[in-house]
Amino acid sequence: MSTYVREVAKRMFAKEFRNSDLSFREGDDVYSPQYLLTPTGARVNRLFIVGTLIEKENIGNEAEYWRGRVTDPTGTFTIYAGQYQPEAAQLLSECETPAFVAVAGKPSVYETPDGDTITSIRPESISIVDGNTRDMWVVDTAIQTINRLHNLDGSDTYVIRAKEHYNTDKGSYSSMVLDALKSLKEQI
Amino acid sequence: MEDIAKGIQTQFKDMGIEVPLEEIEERLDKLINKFKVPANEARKNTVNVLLKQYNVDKNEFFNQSKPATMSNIADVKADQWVNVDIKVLQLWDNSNSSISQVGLVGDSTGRIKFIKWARDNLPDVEEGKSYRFSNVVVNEWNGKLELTLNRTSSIEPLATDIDAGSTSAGSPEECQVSDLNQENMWANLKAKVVQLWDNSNEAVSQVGILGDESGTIKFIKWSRDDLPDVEEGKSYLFNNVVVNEWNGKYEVTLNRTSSIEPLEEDIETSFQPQGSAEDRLLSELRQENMWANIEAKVVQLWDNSNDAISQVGILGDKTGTIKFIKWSRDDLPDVEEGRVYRFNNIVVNEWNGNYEVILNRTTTIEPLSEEIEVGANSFQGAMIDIQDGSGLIKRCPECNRALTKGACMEHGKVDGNYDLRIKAVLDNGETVQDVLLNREITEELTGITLEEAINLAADALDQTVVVSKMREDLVGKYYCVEGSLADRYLIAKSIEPLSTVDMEKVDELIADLEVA
Repeated sequence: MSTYVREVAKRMFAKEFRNSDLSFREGDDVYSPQYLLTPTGARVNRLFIVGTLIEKENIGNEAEYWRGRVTDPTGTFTIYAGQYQPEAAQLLSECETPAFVAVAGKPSVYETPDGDTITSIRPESISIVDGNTRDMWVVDTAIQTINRLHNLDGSDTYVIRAKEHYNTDKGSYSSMVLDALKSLKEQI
Repeated sequence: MEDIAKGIQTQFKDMGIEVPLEEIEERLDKLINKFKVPANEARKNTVNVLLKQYNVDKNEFFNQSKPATMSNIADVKADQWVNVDIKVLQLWDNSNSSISQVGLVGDSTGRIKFIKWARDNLPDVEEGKSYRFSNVVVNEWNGKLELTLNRTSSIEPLATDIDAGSTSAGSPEECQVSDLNQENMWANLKAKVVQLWDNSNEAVSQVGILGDESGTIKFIKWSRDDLPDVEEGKSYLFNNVVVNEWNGKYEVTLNRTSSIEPLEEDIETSFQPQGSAEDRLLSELRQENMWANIEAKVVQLWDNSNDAISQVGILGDKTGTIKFIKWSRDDLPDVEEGRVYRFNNIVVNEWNGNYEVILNRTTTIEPLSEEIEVGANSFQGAMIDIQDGSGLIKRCPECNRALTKGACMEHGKVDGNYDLRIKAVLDNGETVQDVLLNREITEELTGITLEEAINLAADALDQTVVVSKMREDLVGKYYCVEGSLADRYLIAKSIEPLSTVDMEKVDELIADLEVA
């Protein structure tokens, strides 16, 4: 029996996540893990974000179904938690906004009838954190994004696929990272 | 911020609603200054909150149309609706089905990216032709403006040609290897091919090292560019090559416009193909390109999806641990987790401040029968989960195993002894590390003693309140753990919460990005 390997939680900024719309399964059966491939070539089955929960709303009818918006320096992540994410749903129902939150979860891609794709996160865990943790995440995510940007010239199969699909503009992503880092210097 | 607040106030005033400026500013201040929300997101959120508070219909609010004005590209500002006369300078390849066309347009005052969405059913534009774009929106992304066409936009071809300047690239100069120290620099280079590397990537035609008497540099030649092959040991004139930078190292990329001419002369190089490898401890592998022989245990093998990599993981000896990579192209035998080997002729590589061991064609791997005790290990990352079986647990009085549902796997139903522990999952974005915290370290980290945990559980009539509280307090934050590896667990000897950003590192990253 091969040992179970837990999927790594990738780091990416909201802008990159929002621009991602290529999902695929690794393997042929329905139980194969699903991945989202991002413009800088991250192959994402799980991600970890820290940001500011600025909005939350119960959009469910009978059962509670919570939608939250979490901002980082580059934009907004949308998270959805319902009966299958009871702990996350409970936290969303109880917490106040704005609040700094850390979320680990699975990416989910939905295509609207108009052909727009909406990328969101189904949280496995969500917890209230402080502003310092948020800043550490910005640096963490900046470094990991920079590493992916450097690897964009490389030969990894997924990187090549990401470049073909998104026609990734390296410059715009590096200026996104630069702005995110600079925002840390502006706060006192 | 005052401007944003006034803007919002005016928007609401147009709807006949008077919102006090202080109320808007208070929300904005909280979001922007206390909760670090970017200004544009804070503005949107404040508007949404006020819409709800004053019971205003969203659609009505956002449909207040703004008249578009004629503008030059140099004058457009974020969020404006404009009409522009432009020439299409470039259309970019685009495989995103929701985008119909994307590229660069320009007029005599400047250039700007534009995007046309598939859903809006607008006519296509052609490269080199001039058009009037009416009713387009100026969006801002990270300080760069772009024109977004939308359902209400129109595109009319113009009879006159818009002058959008010229698009010439600088002409390359003849350089030595040591001169190639600027990203995107074009150069002509006389150099010798000192090494060609094995390469299993179809997109890459050849990759290796070029050298002259001033130094050496990596080069890469892509298959799509149809350039002639070079041979190891021969000298060439490479015209029109580009310099790329990665991690402070430069590399030469050949491209469609490059040419390769063989030279009669032999270029002198300073290249030493291989240093002599000495026996080293892992803690001594702290120099890029150092060759060494090591004896180490394979502590972990990682999951690996990259075809080019045959195995990747962690090696350890008594002085510590180090990442290693074995490439598929080198056809080396596989190693097994938990076994000890002698690796002759490995190279040390530096990656983002960390050293790693690279096995190569000349490396040999011999299994050893002796055991190696692996030295202290550390892992830094975010705690993304605390697993079940953490918090307040009971152990079998006979064998000390943790009980599940009051029963020991070995001794059945027993009256267990209470204990505290945490099985945490730390994740640094590249690897996952399971971490085991014993009672002492758990008490220290959480500030909850075993007695307090027993009381908490008794009050709630539920043992799991303890782990819930621990999840609440600990998950989502960053930690540095030191300890020793046993199977998949890092048994913690200490755990340190990390909570301050290294501003020097931030400055360094900013400086690197600004240079690029």
